[in-house]
Amino acid sequence: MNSSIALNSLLLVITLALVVVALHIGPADIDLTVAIADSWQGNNSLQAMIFSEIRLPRSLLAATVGATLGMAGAALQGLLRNPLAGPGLVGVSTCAALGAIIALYFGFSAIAWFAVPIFGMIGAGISVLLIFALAGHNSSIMTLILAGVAVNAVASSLISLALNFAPNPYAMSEMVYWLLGSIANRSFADFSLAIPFMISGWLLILNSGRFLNALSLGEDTAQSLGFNLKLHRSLLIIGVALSVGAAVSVSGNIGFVGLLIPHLLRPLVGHEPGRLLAASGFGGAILVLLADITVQLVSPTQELKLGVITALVGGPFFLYLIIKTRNTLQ
Amino acid sequence: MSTGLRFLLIATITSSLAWAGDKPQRIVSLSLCTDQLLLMLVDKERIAAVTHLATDNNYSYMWKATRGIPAHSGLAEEIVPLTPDLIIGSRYSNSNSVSMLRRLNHPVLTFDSPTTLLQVEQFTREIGSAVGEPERAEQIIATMQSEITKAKSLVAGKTELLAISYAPNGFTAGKHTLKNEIIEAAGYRNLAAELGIEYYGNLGIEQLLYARPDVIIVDEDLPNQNSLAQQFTVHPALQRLLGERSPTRIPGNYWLCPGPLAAKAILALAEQRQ
Repeated sequence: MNSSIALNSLLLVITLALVVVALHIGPADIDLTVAIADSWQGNNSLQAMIFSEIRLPRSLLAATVGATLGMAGAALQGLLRNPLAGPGLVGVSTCAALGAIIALYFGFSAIAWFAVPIFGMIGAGISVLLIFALAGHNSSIMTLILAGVAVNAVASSLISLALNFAPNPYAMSEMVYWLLGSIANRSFADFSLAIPFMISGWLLILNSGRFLNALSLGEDTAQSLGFNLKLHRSLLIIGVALSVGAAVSVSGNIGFVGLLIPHLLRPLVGHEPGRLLAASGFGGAILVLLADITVQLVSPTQELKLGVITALVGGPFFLYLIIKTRNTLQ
Repeated sequence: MSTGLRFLLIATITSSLAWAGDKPQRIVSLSLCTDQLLLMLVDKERIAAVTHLATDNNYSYMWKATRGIPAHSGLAEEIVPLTPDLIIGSRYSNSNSVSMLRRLNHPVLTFDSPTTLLQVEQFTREIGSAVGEPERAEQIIATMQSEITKAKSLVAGKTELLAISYAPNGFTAGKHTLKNEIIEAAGYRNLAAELGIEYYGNLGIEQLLYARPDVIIVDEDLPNQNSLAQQFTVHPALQRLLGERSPTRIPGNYWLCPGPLAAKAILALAEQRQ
């Protein structure tokens, strides 16, 4: 337990340090200490404006969206007892993006300001249920991957379809954003819209730690330990849907975070799925913050999408995982 | 095609029409910019079709005048059965349809988009003579000039403010654009041009704040439309930069198309000097 606290504290310190680094990065040359002092005193200076309206929401979104994806990856891997599960691969992120797209481009967001995250969460929820129905909770790696490929394929063609028919001249060109993810130009309005749902999701997921530990010993064991499988599974699914749905609705689909992070951290938490949850949250935050710092440094004017960076890191890692688990696949 | 050659072509077509003893009676326009000018120049009985965009008030100032005129979506297959006797369009748009229509021996005239107010007058005159309405073209130009004169008298003697046109995706217009001339004619300095943007470019919100414009000019909101691109122009940071003032809004259809409507954009900007 103490090692767990030590690990999480270390990861928290790295996350906070990266948030501070991210706050320094941007096209305008501002003095951050002055900016923070001005914001604190309510001075409406240019520095304060750039700090509080542009950089702070962006850094906070990078950290919280990353935390959501990392934690959801750990939760899905524990729930499906499958090392290749992750919100991107099983289609949760794509379905969440589909929901958000329907809300944004077809006028629902004009009717109710919370429509975009709500539709995102509904999309995410539907996909988790679909994966459960298609691959079952005791599936082989192969079945899960195939089910994920199918859900992803259908959802991304529905995204193209929706954007094609959206009554908006900019919709088609925004497909890249939804498929690859970005948090550029997001405001505090976006952050405050998503954060309550993300936090509720995290709490549900973190609360399932003991259940996931029991589940790793088998369903029967978990049941005999007094866990109501149906109830705990549902709570976890709702947690994933709430947090991923809200995160994707403000950031698009940033791939591979949920797959990569739990794998990297698993040896450090002694392979206990319950302890992996919080650590993966911090790990995801670190990865997305690093990716967002990278896109701003690599191409400051025509920003790369975040998914490009995470896929460049995550793609080869995914191949490595497949090679490593090839024996199980056959 | 050089301007001289184009004039020659217009001259040949108009003179052959004169020889036929008539003005073109079944005109088709292939782009929003030529649609709007055509609708100003000729009676609707002589227009065989305009583009779908011309019927949409978000993009077209002349949308009311399109009632009763067939709308097409730019496919040669839709245009050929209309048996047009003159087809006008903008250079570089619909190039596949244009070359197919030319192969089928339809008279197609394409025009460069004007990038200065002087070229707007030329553009109006060229299309006016192509459709056989040179007097109407001169009237349109006269109205334009009087609107610009009125705008200039409104802003005469006022301090030059620094303005920027800001559109979805951070799109802005710099040097060598008609928007630049419009902004300057309304008595502003164009920030985008001063930042060294040539033609069109994109400016992030942070860069925009850092450059501190006095005035931000945005298009009027399109009803029931939302996209990430449009969220640039309603970012809370812009309002915080402007403080008590509000962004200057003008109807998007005034300057979406470079053409005689530029004068209305200039007047609208001049009237909103705060």
